[in-house]
Amino acid sequence: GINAEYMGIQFSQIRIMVKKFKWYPAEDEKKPFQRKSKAKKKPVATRKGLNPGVVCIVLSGRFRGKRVLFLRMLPSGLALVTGPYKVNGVPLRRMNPAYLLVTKTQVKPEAISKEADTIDDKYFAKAKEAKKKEEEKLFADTAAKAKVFPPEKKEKQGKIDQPILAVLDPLMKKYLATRFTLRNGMKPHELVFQLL
Amino acid sequence: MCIRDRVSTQSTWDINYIREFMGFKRFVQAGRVAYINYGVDHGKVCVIVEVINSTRVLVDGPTLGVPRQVISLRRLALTDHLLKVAKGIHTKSLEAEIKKADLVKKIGESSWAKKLAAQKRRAELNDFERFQVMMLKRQKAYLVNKDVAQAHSKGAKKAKKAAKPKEAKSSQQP
Repeated sequence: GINAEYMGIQFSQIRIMVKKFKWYPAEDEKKPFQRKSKAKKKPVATRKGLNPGVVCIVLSGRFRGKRVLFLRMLPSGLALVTGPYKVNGVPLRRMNPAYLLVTKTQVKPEAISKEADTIDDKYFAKAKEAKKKEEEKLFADTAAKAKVFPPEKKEKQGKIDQPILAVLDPLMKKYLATRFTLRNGMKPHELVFQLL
Repeated sequence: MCIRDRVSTQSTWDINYIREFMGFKRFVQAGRVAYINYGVDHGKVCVIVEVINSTRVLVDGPTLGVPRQVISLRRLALTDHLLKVAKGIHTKSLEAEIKKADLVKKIGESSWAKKLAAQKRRAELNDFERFQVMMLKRQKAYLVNKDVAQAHSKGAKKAKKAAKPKEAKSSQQP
């Protein structure tokens, strides 16, 4: 024991270090953000004018410039859209709503069937392949299996698009088939898409 | 006897002299209807009530939404319309004059007002409407070009016909 009195130090001033764990990591582990409060995550804010059946212009990504129909907001915060596929080649797809330019034009919301409500974020999850061993990969058939688009998804696309196509008139179809571009004299800051 | 005969006796500031010799038709005068190009009342129409100096005028537009104010001539565009009013007319009297002359209707009928309305409409077009306009322009161009092509071919045919008998004549000669 330490003869505290002998050292001239008050016993209350002494702190004894005790090892709490056997192993300490060299650097602090990074923890994912955790809310301190018990508040639940807020639902995605609805954008004004973004309703089922509204024509949106895609601003970035593979389909930039395409005019697509908005179906619904998914719980992940992404927007579910469709071309329709037969009109402009845009399938059922999730898109970041920040990159959708909402226009005033709207297809009859009745044409958006309840089928759209059945589609969730899980629908778009990548199918997990069975884990292959290294050797198997080496001897794998180089003429790889052709990636077949799942027929169930094709069917789903058809089910959702069919009532929409029935409602679209030829001019509307042409409109959706045409990409949006800026032309001479068009000033983006002066163009009206929605009179809010 | 036209004004040119009276040139030597006319003052160079006579309005009719200016009109004849210098080609100016619209004058800054009491009663001149002007369009406001700039400022708070931009886009509105008013009546010049009094001329203050070479740059400023007193202006008023009772039923036209323009308060009585001094405005720079640089902010005005003169129109063809002229009300017969004395300079310095009061707002109430001016209102009666505007109503009598049916100014609002007359201005609305002018091609320049129609152009402004068209410009405004064009600026308000939404994306689908712009697409429709583009389709209609294409259709119109197609029809016009079709007619032009027909006219060209007719002209070409005529030229051919005229050339043929000439050829026939020239071939017969030797």
